[in-house]
Amino acid sequence: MNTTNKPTGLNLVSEPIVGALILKISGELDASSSLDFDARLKQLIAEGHTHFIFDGTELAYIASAGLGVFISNKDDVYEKGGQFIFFGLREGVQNVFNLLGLSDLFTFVSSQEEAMDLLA
Amino acid sequence: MTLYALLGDVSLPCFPSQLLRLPDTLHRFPWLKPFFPLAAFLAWALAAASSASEAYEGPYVLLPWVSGVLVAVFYAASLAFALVYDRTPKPVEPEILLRNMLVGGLFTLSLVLLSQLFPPGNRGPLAYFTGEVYPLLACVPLIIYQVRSFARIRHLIDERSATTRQWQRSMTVLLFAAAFAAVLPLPGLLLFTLFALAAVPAFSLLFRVRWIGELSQNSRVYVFVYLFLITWVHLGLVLWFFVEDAHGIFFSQAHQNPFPLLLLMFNGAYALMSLLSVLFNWPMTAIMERRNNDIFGFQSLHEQISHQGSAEDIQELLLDLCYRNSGARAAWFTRPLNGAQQVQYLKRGEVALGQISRWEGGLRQLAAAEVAEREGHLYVRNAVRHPQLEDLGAQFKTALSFPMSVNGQPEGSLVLLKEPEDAFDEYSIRMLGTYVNQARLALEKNRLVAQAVENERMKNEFEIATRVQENLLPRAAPVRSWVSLAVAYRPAQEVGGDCYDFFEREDNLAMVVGDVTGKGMGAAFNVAELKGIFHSNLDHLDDPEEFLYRVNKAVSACFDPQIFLTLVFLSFRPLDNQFIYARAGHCPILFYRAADGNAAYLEDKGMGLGIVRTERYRSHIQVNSHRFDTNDIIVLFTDGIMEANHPETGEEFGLERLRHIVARHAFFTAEEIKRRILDDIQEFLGGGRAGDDITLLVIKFQ
Repeated sequence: MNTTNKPTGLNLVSEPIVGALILKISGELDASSSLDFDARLKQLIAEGHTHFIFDGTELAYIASAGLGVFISNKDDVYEKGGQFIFFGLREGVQNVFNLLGLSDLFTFVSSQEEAMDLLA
Repeated sequence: MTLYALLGDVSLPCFPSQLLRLPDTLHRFPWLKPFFPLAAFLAWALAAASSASEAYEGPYVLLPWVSGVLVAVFYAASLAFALVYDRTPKPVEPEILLRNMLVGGLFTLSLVLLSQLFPPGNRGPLAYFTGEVYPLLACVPLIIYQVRSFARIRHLIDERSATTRQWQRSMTVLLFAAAFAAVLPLPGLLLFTLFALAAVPAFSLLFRVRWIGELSQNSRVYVFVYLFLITWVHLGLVLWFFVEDAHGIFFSQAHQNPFPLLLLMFNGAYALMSLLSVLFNWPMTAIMERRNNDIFGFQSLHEQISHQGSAEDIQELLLDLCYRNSGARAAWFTRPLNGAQQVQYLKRGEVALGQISRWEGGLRQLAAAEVAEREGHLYVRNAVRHPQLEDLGAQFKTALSFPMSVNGQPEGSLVLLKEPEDAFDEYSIRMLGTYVNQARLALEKNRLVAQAVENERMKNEFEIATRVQENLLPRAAPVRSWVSLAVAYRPAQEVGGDCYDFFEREDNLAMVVGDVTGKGMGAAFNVAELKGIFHSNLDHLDDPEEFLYRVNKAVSACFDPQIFLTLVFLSFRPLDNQFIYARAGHCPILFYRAADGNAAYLEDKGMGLGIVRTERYRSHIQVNSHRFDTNDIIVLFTDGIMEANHPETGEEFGLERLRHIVARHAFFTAEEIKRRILDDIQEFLGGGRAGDDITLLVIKFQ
C-alpha cells in the first residue's frame, strides 16, 4: 500500500489489484490538491496502468480543476482500452459529475465489488 | 559643593542687570561711538602731559593723582570701546581669529621693540622724542591691542553656557573696577583684595577651551603655531612693560594701576593654556577624528537609505567606508550575480582580482569550519597559522570578513586585510560590524521598496485587466418590448472565469451564461478567447446544437486539455412564444410559470465543452424547447451562486433557496428580482466574499 499525504487535505491511497488500480481519494480535490493528483495519475498512466477504480467514499468536495484532471487524462487511458470507474461518490460530488454530463463518459457504480465485477 | 560652584553662586547676583545691558543701550545711540576713542585719546594726552611735568609743588601737587585718573579713564574707555563696538564676525573661526590676534601682537611688539633701540638719557630734540615721547606713544597700541585681544578671547570662550557668561561679565566688571580703584584713596589691603578677586573669574575662564576639541585636524596645526607665537609675544610684552621698566618712562601711575597687568596676564595665560590644551589633546584628536569619520560614515549610509541608492551604490559605499575608516591595506566586497552562480568583486587597495578569487576560497573554507552556524564575522589574527590561508598570510597576516545576508539570503561578503598580525582592535571590529548591519538595513529597505513598486505595478495591471474584462461584457442588456432583462456579474477576484453575452441578429435574440474552469487571470484570458469564438458563430443563433458543436470544436483546439467550460445557450422565438436552449454541463435553468405559480429547474441532459474533444460531442448535446407566457421568468446563473458558502456552517446557498426566492418575488420586475437574489446571497454570506465568480441573469416576459 502506497500512501501520499498532502497538507491540502487530499489523501491518495493506491492499491493494485489484478488488472486494475484502486485509488482512494480523500478530502477535497480543489485547485491546489488537483495539481498533485494530476501528477500522480499521469505517473501511474505512464507506468502502464489503464484500468482505474476511484474510491470516492471519502471525497468531500471536487472543484472544476479536480474534474479537469479526470477529463484531461481520460483520453490517454481510453485510447489504450482502459477505464475510469468511480464508486461510492457522495451525493454532492455525484451531482457535480452528473451536471457536467460526465455520467455518459465515466462509469459510476455503488461499491468496489461492483466495480471489480465490471472489469472481470 | 565645590569651591568653584560656591564662587559661581556668589558671583552670579553681584551685578545689577542694568550694567549687563549697557552695551545694548550704547548701541542704541550710535553718535556715542566716536566719544570713546576721543575720551581715551584726551585722557592719554593729558596724562602724558601731566606726567611729563616734573613740578610737583604748589597747585601741581595734585597732578600725579589727576594723571592717574586720566590713565584710568583711558584704560576704561579703550576697554569699553573694544567690547561694545567689537566687530568679530560670527560664527567664530578660531584659526582666523588667532591669526589676526597674532598679526596685531607682532605689530605691537615691533613698535615696542623699536622704542628699545633708543635708550633714554641723551638730550636733544630727537633724543627727547625717541627717549621720552615715543615710548609713550608705543604704550597706546599696546593697550589697544590688549583690549582687542580680550574681546577676541571672549569669542573663543564658549558663550553658550550661562555660567561662563557670568564669569566673563565678572571679569569685565573687575577690570573696570581695577582701573578706577587704583586711583581711589583706598587702603592697600582692600585694593589687593579687589585685584585678587579678579583672579577668580580669570582662573575659571582659562579652562574654557572647548573650542580646541572642535578644531579639525588641519586647522589644529595652524592654531598651534599661532598660539605658540602669541604666547611668546605676550611674554615679550610683559617683559618690556614690567621687567624692563619701560613703564617708568611712561608714567609712574601705571605702576599703581593693575589694569594693563591684569589684561596682559589674562590674555597671555589664556593663550598659554590653549597652547597646552592643543598639545595635550593631540593624541586625543586621532580618536576624535576617527569618531567623526564614523559618524560621517553613518550619515552617508543613512543618506543612502533615504535617497534610494541602488544596491550597487550601497555596497560601494560600505566598502569605501570600511576601507577608509578601518585603515585596512586592502579590501574587497564579493557581490553575487545571477542568483550566486557568478560573483563580482569590488576592490580597494593593494590587491589583484586573481588574488581575491584565490583567497576568497580559503576564507570561505575557514569560515565554514570556524564560524559554522553562527551568524557573524570571521577574524583571522594570523593567517600564517591557517593552512588554508598560507598564500594570503605571505602578504597579509590579519583578515576580517563579514558575511552579509539580506532577508535571510546571502548577499555577498566584505573582507578587510592588514599586514601586521592581529591588527584590528575590538572597537574597529564592532564599528565595522555596525556598518555592515546598517548597509544590510539599507539593502533590505531597497528590496522592500522594489517589492512595493512591483506590487503597485501588479495592482495597476489588475485594474487594467478588470477594465478590459468589463469591456468584453455587454454594456447593456438588449431592449425588447416582450421581455425585460436584468444581469449581475461579480468576479471573486479582479477578473473572473464567468461570462455572459447577448447576441442579436435580425429578429433573433440569443444569450449565453457560462463559466470557464478556474478563476482569476488565467480564467479571464480564456473568457476573452471565448468571446471571439461565440461571435464567429453568430450564424447559428437559431440552432443551439450547431452552435455548441462549433464552440466545442474551437475550444478543443484552443484550450489546454484540463480546461473546460460549461454554459447555457438560450435562443428566443418570440413569434412562437417559444425558447429553445441547450445546457452544456452548466447549472440548470430555473423556469417560473406565472400560470401555476410554480418555479422549477428544467430537466435535461448536456455535457460541458472541451471535455469530449471529438466529433462524438454532437451526441452529447440535447436541445429542448419550451413555451413561455407573459410574466414567466427564466433565471440563468453560475455555480458561484449555488456554492456560496455560509461563513459559519459551511452550508451552500443551493438550488432550493434560489428557487424559493424567485417563487416568492415573481410579481416583481426582473431588476427587482435580481436585486432580491443578490441581497439574499449577501445576507447568507454574512459580509464575507463569495468563493467563486457570480453571474446572474433574470429574464421576465411581458
